[in-house]
Amino acid sequence: MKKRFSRRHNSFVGAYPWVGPALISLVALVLVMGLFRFLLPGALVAVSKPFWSAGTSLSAGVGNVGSFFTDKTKLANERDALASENAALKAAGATSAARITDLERLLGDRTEAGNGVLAGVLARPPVSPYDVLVIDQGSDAGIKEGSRVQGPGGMPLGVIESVTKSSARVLLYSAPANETESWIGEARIPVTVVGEGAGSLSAEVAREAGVAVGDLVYMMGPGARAVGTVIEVGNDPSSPRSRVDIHPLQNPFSITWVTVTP
Amino acid sequence: MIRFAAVAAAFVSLFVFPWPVSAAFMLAASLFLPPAGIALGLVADLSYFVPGAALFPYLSVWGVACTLASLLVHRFVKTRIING
Repeated sequence: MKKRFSRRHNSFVGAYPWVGPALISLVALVLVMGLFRFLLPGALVAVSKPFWSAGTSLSAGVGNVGSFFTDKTKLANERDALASENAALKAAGATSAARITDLERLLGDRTEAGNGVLAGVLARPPVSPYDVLVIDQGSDAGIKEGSRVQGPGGMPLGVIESVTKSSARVLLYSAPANETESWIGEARIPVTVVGEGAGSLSAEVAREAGVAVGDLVYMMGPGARAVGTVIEVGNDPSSPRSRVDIHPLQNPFSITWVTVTP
Repeated sequence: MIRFAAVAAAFVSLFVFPWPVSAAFMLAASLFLPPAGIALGLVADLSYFVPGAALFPYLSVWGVACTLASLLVHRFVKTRIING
């Protein structure tokens, strides 16, 4: 007796036997990942932490190996330049300290030390493909979503976007399309600074505002904090506004410690 | 064994190397084991992506693309061998 069968159906199954298992695996994978992200957010970080730490150590080690092969004369010159720069900075620091003391005598100490949380950076660009930092302190240390994050010298870097018990993710101000209210220059011209990715920022100002290359950009808020310098001002005669390109003072690729202000 | 090594190397690279290197590792891993591309992309975006960081999770999309490409390659290679 001749066996009847559907050629089309069987050929499909024969050609793509992996479709069913692959779809089931994919759905299972997405469910597991969703579980990790929303129900056990700390678990993935706990698994990742040793790798991030090892990666940071490895990067530092590779840098040291590179310096071993550097020309000795060049190193000596570099050391001399750093020594003279150190001396100049010491002098400038002493001058600033004296000035602060004089001002405090006049005005009183109206600024108090912030109660920030010091956190180490586990991952940063370019390991992270986005303008996001992963830090090693979380809700256990008092960090909350929306807390502000500062770099060395109190320079504003970004905002806490998500937090677990022992870690948090920081969305940098330079993330693409991220808008931040700021001031430019000594005249404090108010602008909206837009993130361009990879640490860079941009803004648009009126052409007659007088923004020039080298002007500092400050984040709005108490005690205007500098975040970058103007590196280029667009000069399109057909437009009443100029595009301003801003270079960050702190390279997000080399941040190792941050302070989080709850 | 080599499948496991490729996937493990790609997994570790997500936390150690710059993301373009990780993306290359993901492609290599998915050539050995096609679903690895999707899995690694998801792990990467679960680790780094937050709302507002980008328009869409790049590495998940890259992972899916790697998986699809590797499935295509697998099928092409198989056909070539069978047809001689």
